[in-house]
Amino acid sequence: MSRDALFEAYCRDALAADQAAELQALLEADAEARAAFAQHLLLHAGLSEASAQLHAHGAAAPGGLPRRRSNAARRSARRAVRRRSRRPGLGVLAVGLLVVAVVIWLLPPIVDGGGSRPGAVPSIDAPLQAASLESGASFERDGERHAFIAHESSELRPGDRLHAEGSVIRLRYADGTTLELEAGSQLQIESIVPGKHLLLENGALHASVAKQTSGQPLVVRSASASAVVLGTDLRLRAGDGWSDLAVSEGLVRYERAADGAALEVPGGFGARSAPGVAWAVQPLDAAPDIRVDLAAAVASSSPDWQVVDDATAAGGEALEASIEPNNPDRRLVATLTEDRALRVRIFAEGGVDYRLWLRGRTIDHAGSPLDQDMVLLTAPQAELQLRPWADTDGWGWLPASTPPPLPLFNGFGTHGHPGAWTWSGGPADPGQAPGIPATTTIRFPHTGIHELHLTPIEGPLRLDQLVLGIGDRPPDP
Amino acid sequence: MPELSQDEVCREALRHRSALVAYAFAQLRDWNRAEDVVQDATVVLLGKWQDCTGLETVHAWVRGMVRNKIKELRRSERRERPVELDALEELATGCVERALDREGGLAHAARVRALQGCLQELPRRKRVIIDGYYRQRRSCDAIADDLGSSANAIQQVLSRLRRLLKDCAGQRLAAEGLA
Repeated sequence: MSRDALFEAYCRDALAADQAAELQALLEADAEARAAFAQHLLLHAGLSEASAQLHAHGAAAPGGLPRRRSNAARRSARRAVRRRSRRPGLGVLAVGLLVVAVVIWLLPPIVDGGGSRPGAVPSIDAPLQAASLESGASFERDGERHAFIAHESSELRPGDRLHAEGSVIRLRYADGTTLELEAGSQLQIESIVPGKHLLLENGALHASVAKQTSGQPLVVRSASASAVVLGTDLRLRAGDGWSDLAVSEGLVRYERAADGAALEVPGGFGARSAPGVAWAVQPLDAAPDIRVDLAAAVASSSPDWQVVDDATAAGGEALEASIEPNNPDRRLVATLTEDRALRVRIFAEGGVDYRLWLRGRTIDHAGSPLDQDMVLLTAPQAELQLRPWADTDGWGWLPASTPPPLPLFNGFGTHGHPGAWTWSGGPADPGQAPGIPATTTIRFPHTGIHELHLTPIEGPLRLDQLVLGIGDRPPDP
Repeated sequence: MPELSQDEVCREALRHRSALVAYAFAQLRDWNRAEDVVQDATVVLLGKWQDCTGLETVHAWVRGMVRNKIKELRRSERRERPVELDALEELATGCVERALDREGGLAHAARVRALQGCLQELPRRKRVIIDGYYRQRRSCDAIADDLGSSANAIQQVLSRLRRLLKDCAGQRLAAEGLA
């Protein structure tokens, strides 16, 4: 048991005999542990008293857990009755002073009202109200814009559309459910009573949701999916054609708009609705590798690529580049234009350095060098970093659609056997020192759906997977 | 030496109430019982206030009464308690006593006020968990059942909340020049 767990078990009178001995030995030997133990005890006592004071004020846990009197409270009440009955001999003055002392004792201290703190939404009876922390935010009602005045709350109605321009907007329902709309987001209030329905048009929303009435959950829609919330803490992000849910506590039913497929997402997990992303519950702390089944992810056709059946490929299909080998004009054409590029749409997080890996296999035929540059991979609006190009100023970042050194993937046959599926990390310079891996790193400016363009330079070649990974090693097959 | 009135002595004792309850809690591990004991000690004080030699000694004096009341409580309960707990409880009480003396008599009351403010800033669900655990002394299993969660998740939430509330209270006290 950890030290903190021992401290807490002591506070709860829940120590087993061996644990009590362990704690005693620790405290006797370590002055720092004694000081930490004292602070833990004082915090526990402080929280007990603070909770009791808030309860006495009626400010704690409205409609929350059932309020039970503890056995101690019942014993205390019985003792109070016995004490009063044992004092027939006290003088009138002493009894009066005792009553005064008890009244003073029971008089709660003035509680520092948190609602007056700037940024807090004051508690009034409106079903739904909102306030912005700074100026700039507004809401739209019946075609007219109304500016939020910083720190002043406004009552909202169904149909209102919130624009969190330059400021976070805090929303609060009468049952205590609170939401925070991140700056730059847009949210529409679809209904308030009896069910809370919201449409997150763009941006991100954090929610701390009180336990909802059965049959009347909080529903937050986005264009691609809906989160049905029964009582939890969550974050929902949405953009053009995608949405992303992360649940820290509780349980959320997450429904995809396209087909109604639903996931039950518990605390510590998330899910994402986006092209090319598996519709599945994932741990929040999982490494965000993005695996793209290329044949399935094709967004537009190109004369140079066809989807072919290949039982050895992931998913049983592959992209095949059917261009003649060793054509010197192909590289020139490819570097000057991208009209032959295949466009693949993926969802990626902004600001993350992803390693790019392409899996392909050459189709061996006589006269075809197997280590030539075979695929040009570019991405509009992204940045690329290529290794091992030492002359690019220490692996400097390049715009992903420009001049050499180019993000050319090769080596599909070199590292394995001709015809075997091989992962390539990018432009392996034939003159590079051994052991230096060829890697291509890509970084997107914002979270959302992005396009990658694949242009074949040499053929024949088949590709089946594209991975945007985090580690330096090739992905597992 | 100016004479003290009963009202002055009582009020001084009540100013230190939070610290006295925390001191009793260190041994009893039950906040409601700790409050009862301190209340009983205050009743004793009402009968003996003339023995007080100065306001600066009231806190230590009442603490001694609290200590005696706890001993009486232990004897009167006559329940089976493991002997090894006596030494551990004495250790705990000593740790808290030294901490309270180092902080000064009214620091714990300020801490409680700061924690109240911090609790009010928590989202409702987290306040429900804190209220259930600290005021109602319910188990993590019981709280988890009510909230449709797991006991492990509730424990983790409580652990995070303790850190968060401790930091929050510290910031509030620092802002008041009390930390």
